[in-house]
Amino acid sequence: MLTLTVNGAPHEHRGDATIAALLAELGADPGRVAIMLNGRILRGADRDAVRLAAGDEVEVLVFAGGG
Amino acid sequence: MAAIPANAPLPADPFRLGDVELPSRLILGTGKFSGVEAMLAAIQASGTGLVTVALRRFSRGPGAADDLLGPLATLPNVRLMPNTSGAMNAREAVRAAQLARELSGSRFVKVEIHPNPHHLLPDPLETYAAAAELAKDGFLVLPYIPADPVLARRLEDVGCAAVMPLGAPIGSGGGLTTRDMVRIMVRECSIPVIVDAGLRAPSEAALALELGCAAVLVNSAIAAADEPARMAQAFALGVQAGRLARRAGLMPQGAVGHAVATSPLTSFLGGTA
Repeated sequence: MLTLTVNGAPHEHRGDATIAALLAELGADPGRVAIMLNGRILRGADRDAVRLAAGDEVEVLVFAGGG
Repeated sequence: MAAIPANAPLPADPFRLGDVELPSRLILGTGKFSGVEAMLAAIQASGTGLVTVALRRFSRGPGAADDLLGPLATLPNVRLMPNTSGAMNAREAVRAAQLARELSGSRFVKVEIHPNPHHLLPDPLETYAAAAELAKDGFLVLPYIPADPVLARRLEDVGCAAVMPLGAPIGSGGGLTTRDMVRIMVRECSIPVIVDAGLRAPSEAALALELGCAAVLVNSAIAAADEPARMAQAFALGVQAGRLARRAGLMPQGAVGHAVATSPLTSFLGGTA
């Protein structure tokens, strides 16, 4: 189990140490979110390559209504 | 001059932002709608080809922000212009823009930096810094700014695709209170001037286009109307009327209080020859 910070809150992650597993756990559609890991934007291929580690800060972002 | 039949189609009038041609001079915001269906209906009724969206943290459960990417993808002719609302400074705005580009694939960005929650007025210095950096990075940058002609020219110089002065504070419905400054901006800028924020009525959108603005961005006035889709249609007509009037050339304005007769003042019945 990994303790991460996801969108500013503590999160116990149980699955594989991948972004895909984290998104599945959160119930987020991978095609509809942008990801930032420790302040770095994860672009397409990087997202698959990266391994999560304890203490990582992950931001998961979507498009919402705005003017 | 050829006769123009009633209900003739409007003359061709392409609207370009950077290298992108858009079908309408009305740009819509996606906030404050009662739901996704109402938002989609208003976007379709407006005829717009460009809508702005905000970037927010993903969450589930009550109070979670609607994920709009899926619903908006059902409108193939509508491009996304992510905005940087929520950013307190240039650094945060640049990061938001880059994240949003990853998600949307769109080069458009509305730079929006308004750290004060009471008046939501744009910070001109942070906005300038973010706009300059993003334009250099290949974005089509549309900064939301105070109605300041000098700032607008400086933003043009750093490569912005347009400038977007406010008509009145965001969501206020105050109308086009900045019209004199907007008029100067239109005169001084070569890039499109787009009034963003504060408009309440389609007549105000028409006025902006009559003054020479290239477009308007409207959100609250449509989203908070009793019938958003109908109001979207009304704004589309206001924009068209204003633009057509601008191109047709408004008559010179006379001195206040002085009439200039349209009918002959002589040779009326009973008058002297």
